[in-house]
Amino acid sequence: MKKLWLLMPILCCLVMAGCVQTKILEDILLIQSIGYDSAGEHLMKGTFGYSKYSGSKAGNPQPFYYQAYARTTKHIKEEVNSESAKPLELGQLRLVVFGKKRAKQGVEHIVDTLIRDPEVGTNVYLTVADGKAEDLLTRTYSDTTYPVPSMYITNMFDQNIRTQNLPTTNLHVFAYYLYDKSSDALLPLIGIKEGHPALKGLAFFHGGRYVAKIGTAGLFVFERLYENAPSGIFQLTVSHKGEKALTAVRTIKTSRSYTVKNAEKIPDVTIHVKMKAMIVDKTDKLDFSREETIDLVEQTMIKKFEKQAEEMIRRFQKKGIDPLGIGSEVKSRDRNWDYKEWRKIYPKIKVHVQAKVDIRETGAIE
Amino acid sequence: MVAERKKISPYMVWFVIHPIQFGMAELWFARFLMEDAGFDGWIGVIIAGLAVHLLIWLIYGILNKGEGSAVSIHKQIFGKWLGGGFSLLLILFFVLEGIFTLRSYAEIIQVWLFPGIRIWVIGVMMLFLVYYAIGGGFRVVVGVCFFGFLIPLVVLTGVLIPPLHYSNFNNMLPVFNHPMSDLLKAAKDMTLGYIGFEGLLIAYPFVKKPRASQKWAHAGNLFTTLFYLWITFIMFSFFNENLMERLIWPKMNLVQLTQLPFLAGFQYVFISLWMMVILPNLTYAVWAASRAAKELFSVRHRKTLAVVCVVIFVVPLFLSDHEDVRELDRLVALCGFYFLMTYIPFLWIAQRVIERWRKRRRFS
Repeated sequence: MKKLWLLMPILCCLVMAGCVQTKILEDILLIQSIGYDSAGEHLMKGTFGYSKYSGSKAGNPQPFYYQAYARTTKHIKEEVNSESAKPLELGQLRLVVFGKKRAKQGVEHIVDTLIRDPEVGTNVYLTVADGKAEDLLTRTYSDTTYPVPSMYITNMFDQNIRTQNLPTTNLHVFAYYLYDKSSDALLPLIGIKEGHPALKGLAFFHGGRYVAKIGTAGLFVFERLYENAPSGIFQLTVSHKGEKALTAVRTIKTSRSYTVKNAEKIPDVTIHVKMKAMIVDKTDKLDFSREETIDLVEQTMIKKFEKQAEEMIRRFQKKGIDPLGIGSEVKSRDRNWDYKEWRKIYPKIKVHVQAKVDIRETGAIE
Repeated sequence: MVAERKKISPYMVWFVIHPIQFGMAELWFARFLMEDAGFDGWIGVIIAGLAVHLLIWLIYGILNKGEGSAVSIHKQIFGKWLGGGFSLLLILFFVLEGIFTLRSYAEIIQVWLFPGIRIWVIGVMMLFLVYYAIGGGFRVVVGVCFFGFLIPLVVLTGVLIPPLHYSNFNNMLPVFNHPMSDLLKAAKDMTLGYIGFEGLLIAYPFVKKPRASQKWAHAGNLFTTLFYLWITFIMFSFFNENLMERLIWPKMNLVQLTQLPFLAGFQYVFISLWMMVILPNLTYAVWAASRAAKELFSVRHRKTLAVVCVVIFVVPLFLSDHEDVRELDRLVALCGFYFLMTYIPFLWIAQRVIERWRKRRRFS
């Protein structure tokens, strides 16, 4: 009898487990991508992309989408819900695309709702479309490995971050810099090229608004200044006794550090970038010993890198944006750092770049 | 007297102290530290840890002299009525801790896991477990603490690794950029992270060779301090001040970053397993409250246990929204701070003064 009494609460627990609303995979609509476009001053157009896995037909999942207009992001979701046969769930959200116009109007409140929603993971990719977000998300990339837009774009980002020059980015990183006063946020900029998505550069934000961009040509230099980047390829022309040759250098490892002089008043910032690299491509016109070649390539690369980097930073200063986080470096060395004061002096401070290139290998060819 | 077979070995105190300190507050304390002293807040963790070391030393001073639980010591020092009043306050504090643990865990489940779940469902499930464990005696309570220490340490510490990829330790520079008063305030706000150790006041008679267990109690607290410090460093390098200000449970946002090949949202596992972290908190609070009540009122343990469980079950039902829960946190933190910081030193002094006074009277 006593044992029976003990069994009661256990039974009770089992029964109660059914009280909570369940979400069964077949009965919900897993949204994989969202696009936000501007539609007038306050209205937004949302595109919700998902894919359908057809049971009978073997092969890739097929992309579909819903669209709706509303003033807030959650309201768009509600609007879409009202025309969908299954409830929308954001647990599998992978990608959020902002249309160019939307990004220029400001994205802060969208990011706020994304963080607020516990279902949305912090490693969702955010990106800016060079045009309209819906253009990217309503297509089917049928002749590629990933016909679903969200899968195509996230895989593109994954591999570019890992092996190329795209800075580390996701919802957390973006929110971090968006709310950080001593630096500004950035997002990848994408567009469509020959029927499939392609990386077009970086979009820079200030105060939650998209204000400037760089193209893919600047990515190598930017990435090296921005973080301890993995590999990337830098092209340069070396000249020796009037002869010119095109070579390419692949960096293997980059490390960067800052020295700040006079941080308390008008800072004088030097960014040191150390690159370990190897020569991967050389048109065989030049004829001299291995050491000389390496030396020449190193010197040329240093000069070119420093010049491009300093030009880029000067452009940032002119626009008043600080995507490299120079402000946070100064802040960490200045006890009385003040945001307003910093904004005033930022365009005027001197920023130098000092590169160091160490070419270790020349590939399989002497 | 407690029977020898019901006692625990001195080193087990280590596995009691750490799990009962470590609990719900871990999910948000970094934000409080930040609000008080910016990213210098980690110094507050150390200050609070040292203060707790001192309190543990005082507690052992009291208990070694009195050779019994706090309830009997109260009676020795202050007599039946005043001493009983003190014991009652202590019991109420344990009950408050239990309520706080249960309600804040229920809130996490409501926000992050099941928005529709009722508090009483969680309450029934948790308290059934707690009642069942305590029914098995003190050794089972310690067992719960032991597994509440081991399982989270093995399974949940992993979530602190992926954020390192995004860490920016520059955030914490320059160090000591806040006045001492801010750092002390941060230390005060760590109260919620450290309370629980006062459970020693009740558990003392259950330890074999209790004097030898003091070093283990200190070791447990040291471990808690270092663990908190580690978490604080990771949190402070992962968020910046303006972003952290927006998050209620910064730790949860950090957990979201962890992804396994077969599981996209690790937070679901995390919150479920978090039950193993708070179960020692709750079990121990209920045990200490009911055990002290048993000693105080000289009734059977099962009776006081049932009463304490009912109280801890009922009160959270009236705290319906986030503001109420925050009020509760604040209340527990405030009570905890002033109660422990004044009560324990007071008891230590009172015990010595009254003893000397009685000795003198006996001789004269």
